[in-house]
Amino acid sequence: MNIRKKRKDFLFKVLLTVFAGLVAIVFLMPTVLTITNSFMTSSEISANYGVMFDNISSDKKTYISDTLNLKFIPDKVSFSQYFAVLFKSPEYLLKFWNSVILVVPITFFQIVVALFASYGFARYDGKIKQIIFFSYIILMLMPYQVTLVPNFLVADKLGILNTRWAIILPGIFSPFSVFLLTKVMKRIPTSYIEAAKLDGASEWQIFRHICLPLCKSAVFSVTLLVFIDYWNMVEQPLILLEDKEMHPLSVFLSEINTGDVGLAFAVAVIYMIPTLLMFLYGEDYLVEGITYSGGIKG
Amino acid sequence: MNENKKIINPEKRRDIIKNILIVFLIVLLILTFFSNTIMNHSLPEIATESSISGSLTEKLNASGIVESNQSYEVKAKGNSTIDEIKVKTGQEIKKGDILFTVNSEENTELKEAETLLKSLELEYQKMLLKLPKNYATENQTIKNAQEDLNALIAKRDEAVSNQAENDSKKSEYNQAKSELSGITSELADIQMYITSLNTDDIYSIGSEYTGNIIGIYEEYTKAQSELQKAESELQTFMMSPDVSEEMIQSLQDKVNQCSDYLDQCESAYKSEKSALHNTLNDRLDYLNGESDRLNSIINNYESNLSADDILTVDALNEQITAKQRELESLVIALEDAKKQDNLESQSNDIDIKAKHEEIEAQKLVVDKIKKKDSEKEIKADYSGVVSQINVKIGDTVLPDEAVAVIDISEEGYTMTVSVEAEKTKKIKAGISVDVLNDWSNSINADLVEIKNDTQNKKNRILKFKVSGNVNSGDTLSVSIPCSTGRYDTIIPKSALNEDSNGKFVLIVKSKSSPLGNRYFAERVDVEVLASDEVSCAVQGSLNMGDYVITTSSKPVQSGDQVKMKD
Repeated sequence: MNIRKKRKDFLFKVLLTVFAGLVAIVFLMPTVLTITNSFMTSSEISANYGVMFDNISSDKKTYISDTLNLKFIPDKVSFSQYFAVLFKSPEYLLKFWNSVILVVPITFFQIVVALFASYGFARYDGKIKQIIFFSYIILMLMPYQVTLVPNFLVADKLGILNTRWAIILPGIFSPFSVFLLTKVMKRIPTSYIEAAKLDGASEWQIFRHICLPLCKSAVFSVTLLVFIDYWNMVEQPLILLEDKEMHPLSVFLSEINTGDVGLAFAVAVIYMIPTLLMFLYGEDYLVEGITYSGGIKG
Repeated sequence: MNENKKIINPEKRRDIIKNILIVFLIVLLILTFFSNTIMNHSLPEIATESSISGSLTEKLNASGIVESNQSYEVKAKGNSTIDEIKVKTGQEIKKGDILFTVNSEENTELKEAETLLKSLELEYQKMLLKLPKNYATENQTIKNAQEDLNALIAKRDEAVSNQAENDSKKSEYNQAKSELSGITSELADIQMYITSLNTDDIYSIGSEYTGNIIGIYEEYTKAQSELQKAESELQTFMMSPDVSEEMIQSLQDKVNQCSDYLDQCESAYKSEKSALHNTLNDRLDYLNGESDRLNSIINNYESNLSADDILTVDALNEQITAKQRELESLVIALEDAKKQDNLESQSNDIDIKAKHEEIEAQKLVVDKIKKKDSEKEIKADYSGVVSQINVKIGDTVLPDEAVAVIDISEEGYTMTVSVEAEKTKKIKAGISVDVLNDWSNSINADLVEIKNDTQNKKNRILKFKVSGNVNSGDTLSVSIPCSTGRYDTIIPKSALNEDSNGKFVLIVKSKSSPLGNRYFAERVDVEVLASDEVSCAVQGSLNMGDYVITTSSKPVQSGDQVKMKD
């Protein structure tokens, strides 16, 4: 009976592993494809995917292959795309720094604002607080595209349209991180704070020396999530920044059909690196923070 | 231990990742810092000029080759090798100046001419050596024919004089022939009679010779049959037994009587036969003698007369006529031959004369070549400028080969240029034009004539009078002033480009970016209103002050990013 159950469990595990493997392949394939294709020559990429871009773009061109050809192994490994991106095309580097210029302040200030806001939400009670927090949740639940038009109108009113502030300012006051950090801070035992108060600690000292260290992992995970979210933004720059020179690299990647098809994969890989490194850096914090904010850990 | 490792590893890993991230960002930062420098290095570098407004004198540029108004070719007089060239191209020379010294070499032309002369002389001598025509054979033939004719005439005359004697002889001959025929017939009969007599076939013998013999012969045959009858009867009776002796005797007696009678008849017949035999033999002898006589007459006649003797006078006349015609045809043929020969002789005389003249002419040619060969210098026949030297030292030149060309400077120089008729509308003859490629400023050119181009009706020909330091064959570029006008947009000519869509200029548009100003080329289509050698007035979407690209280090197209020249 015991052996039978073990066998059943083993079979179940095998099936589950196979299923998970298949799903993993499906999800990993675009990334692997991007990395391997970045080592192809631009002519090979045009031959393989030219038709797809031809269908998307308006200027009809004639390509060698009239079918889409997914290729993982390059005919000839070449660094020409990287060379072109890094040495011959300052606009791509510029767009990378555009992304950095937009994302770093947003992430930093959003976390700062979120930390203070969430401390307030966690520490103080009152009806107004509840209404504001509820409105935060409502805002968070709304898709970003819904708030895009009001954002545009406000930015226009403020005279910051077609400047980076039009993206940075709405980004700083994002409800997502506030909500997440509030949940985390609410879990900090009140006895810690009362003990500190008894010891004569001010609100800043309580925030600085008790709350922040306890929320460290959550802060990092929120930072990472916010960074990834804004690193990949497309709609905001497209709507709020008329000048293409100020567009981040993510917009270029979304408009790749009209740009240099050959450079797309190399740019994508380069663009992937900061996010990947950040994820690898705070992998432990991320897991910890998410689980902590989810209430698994007491 | 493992637990420690687990605790330390995430920190180390984070440090490594942090370092990698920092390095990555620093690298990108450095690349960004140098990106413009690197990119600018690959951009085409351009030079620009701004468009201006002002006046422009339209000028028409044209180029052509200067030609001397008159030139002549210096030619070698004989086969020779150039030893020395005394002049250079462009050198001024005077009449009689030595241009080349030459060294005569073995003249193949002279050799050929001499060989031809020899062969002509040989032919002439051969023509003279031809034997004159004589007619001995023909004359002999005519003479023979004449003699034959004379002989025939004599024979005919003789025949005419001997005709009576010949007639009597012939009559005798004919009579003899007739008699001989009868005698021959009779001889045959006689011989047949003798044969018949010998065989007792007396009935075949002619009656003139038979006489009594037929009766005697019949009596004899009758006696024979009676004897046979009596003997037969006797035999019959003797066989019969009833026959008496007397009967037999009587029959025997009868047989005897018959036998006696037969003997008598036989004897008479034999004597008569003998007598007839003699008669016939005598006649035969006579006839043979007569036959011999007649034969001798005939043979004598026939032997005495030849075939010609037998011919009659008429036959002889016919022969004479034929002979006369033959003789006449021979004479005519001889006359014709003489005429033909005379004609040939005259023709030959003409040929000989012509050949003689040919020899004389060839002698002159040989003398001329010999004279040419003896010259060692080639001199200028006119004063002028050497415009072309066609030979080098050591070259072999043939007679009448042009070794140099001399422009006769007294006659001056001209240049003609064919240009589109439309462009010549603003030009007037009589103006002085600028010579563009005259660096020493020593050439003057005047437009003297504008006339229609007969070869290309869309063009007109401009004729310039050129003077100064110029030689035939020089290429001159001239700028002909046309009308002067005021224009809003004047750009350098070097900024003007042209493709299948027409004329255009590339202007520079700047675009500011966080990395600094960037410059892009933009195409502006224009229409050229007027132009001189350096500038042109244009009309189009071009504003005064726009910067037009005049030169670039690489080909530039509209939309290309460019780098301004430092």
